[in-house]
Amino acid sequence: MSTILEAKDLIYKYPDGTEAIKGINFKVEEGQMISILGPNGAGKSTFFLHFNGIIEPTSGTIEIDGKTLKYDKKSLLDARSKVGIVFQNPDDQLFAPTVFEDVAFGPMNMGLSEDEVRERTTEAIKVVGMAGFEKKAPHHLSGGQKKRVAIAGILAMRPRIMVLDEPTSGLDPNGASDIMQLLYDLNEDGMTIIISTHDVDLVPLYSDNIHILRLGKIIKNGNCREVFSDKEVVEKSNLRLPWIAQLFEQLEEIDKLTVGDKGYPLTVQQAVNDLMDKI
Amino acid sequence: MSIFEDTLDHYTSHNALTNTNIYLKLLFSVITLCINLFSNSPIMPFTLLIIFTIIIVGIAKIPARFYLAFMAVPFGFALISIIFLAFLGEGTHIWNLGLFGWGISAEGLNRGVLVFFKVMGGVSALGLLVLTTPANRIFAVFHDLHVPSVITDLSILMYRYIFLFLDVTATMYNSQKTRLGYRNYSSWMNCLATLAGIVFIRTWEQGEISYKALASRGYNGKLNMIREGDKISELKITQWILFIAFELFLIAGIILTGSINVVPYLIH
Repeated sequence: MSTILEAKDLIYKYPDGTEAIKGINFKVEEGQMISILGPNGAGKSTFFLHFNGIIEPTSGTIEIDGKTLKYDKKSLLDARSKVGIVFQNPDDQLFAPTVFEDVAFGPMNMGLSEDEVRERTTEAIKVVGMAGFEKKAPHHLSGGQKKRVAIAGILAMRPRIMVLDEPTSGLDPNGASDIMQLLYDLNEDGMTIIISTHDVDLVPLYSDNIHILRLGKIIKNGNCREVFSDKEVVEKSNLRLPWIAQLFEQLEEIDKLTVGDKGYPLTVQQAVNDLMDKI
Repeated sequence: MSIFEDTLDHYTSHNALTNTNIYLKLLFSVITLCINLFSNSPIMPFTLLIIFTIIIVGIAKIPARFYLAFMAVPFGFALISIIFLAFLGEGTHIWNLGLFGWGISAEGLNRGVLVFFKVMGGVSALGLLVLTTPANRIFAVFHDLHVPSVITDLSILMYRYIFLFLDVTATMYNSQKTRLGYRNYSSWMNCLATLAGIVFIRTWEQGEISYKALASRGYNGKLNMIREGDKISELKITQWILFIAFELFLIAGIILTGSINVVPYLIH
């Protein structure tokens, strides 16, 4: 595995001088699926916009594929075709009169031939399960459908890294787990995925690596069990344990029932396994 | 998306002629509209009104109620022009109002009726294009006609964001009403002003974030869109024949009906 994206000593100040990002060192290996958790206003969205050069850091650097990102037109275009960002609100992203034209926008900007653009667009729309909606206008779609189209718009550019800002926010439970499953499948096929989320119940199902961002700093990273067993950090970041872990926390404190040896189970599957072992 | 169910935009993409080659509709509408302007008798414009109404309601299956609402605005204007032209026409009066010596003259009435049917016929012809064609295909025609890309890009963005801001406005309007806004005249003025102000600020914010989102996908100052339009070369020979025959019929009709008018000139 090689490092595909790295942020070194990243600092960003808003024009009024407030520091949004206060020195982040962050490293992503190719093929990882990383979650960034943190309270509202922690700077997650601002942090993400550094990855493809939309925001230029006040100091520090972004390295994509080992190359330091420069901020001239050509390097930016290159960075944006390697790192795709899906925005939190799909209405910010969808602009074209039809789904097909919107998804085709990214690939068109990459200067591909029209046949290639059509092929990629059709495929991306199919992958996100929106085939048959090509000629619909975005304002005739539901929230979940818009989200899928927004993801397709990035997917069609075939980036190596896909960054998603709260991909499950505002979706119904089924819609949310469908999207997560889609991301998981994409990750299986080799795409590196970075998501920000508040959904502590869904994260452990998919992510192998969690970073907690608070007040512009990464205060903890590691695998799910490591991070969630640090009670202080979880509390400080306005997060909570997944419901299933809270159940086992109670069982341990009140009923002195301890299962497993690596901390509380975080998903239903882990809980089942740990319980079976116990019995 | 219930608030967009009964809009022009909805029907343009949900009717039986949505996928018909746009150039056929464009030629039919625009050329007919132009030829229609040359008629001197209300007969051919009236025939056009009938024909296009049948096409729009009968073939394209646009709901009649919606078509009537669409035609109501030009109808209102045309009706006003009949009244004015009838009273302002020269010549002997065929009917007197009995006030200030105002009255209707045969020539004025004829001109009024002619203008009325020209307007209604013309609008119904244009209605075929407007009511059955999704906006994105019109933008594709802009592109084919080499309209400057600034104009096309702007129209595309405006078209999309009109609906977004309709949505924002509707949500905010409801939230104001939930908190008892618009309950009397002064509150009404206040709430409307706030609403307008907030929508303006939201527009500003939306502009910033939309730019970021576009830039993330490689936007460089020009909207590089894939064109999903039809080509004029895709028109079949039968369609050309149909189109030309229709326009010839129209021209012949206009020549034959000459200046036949509803009111014969020499009534005294």
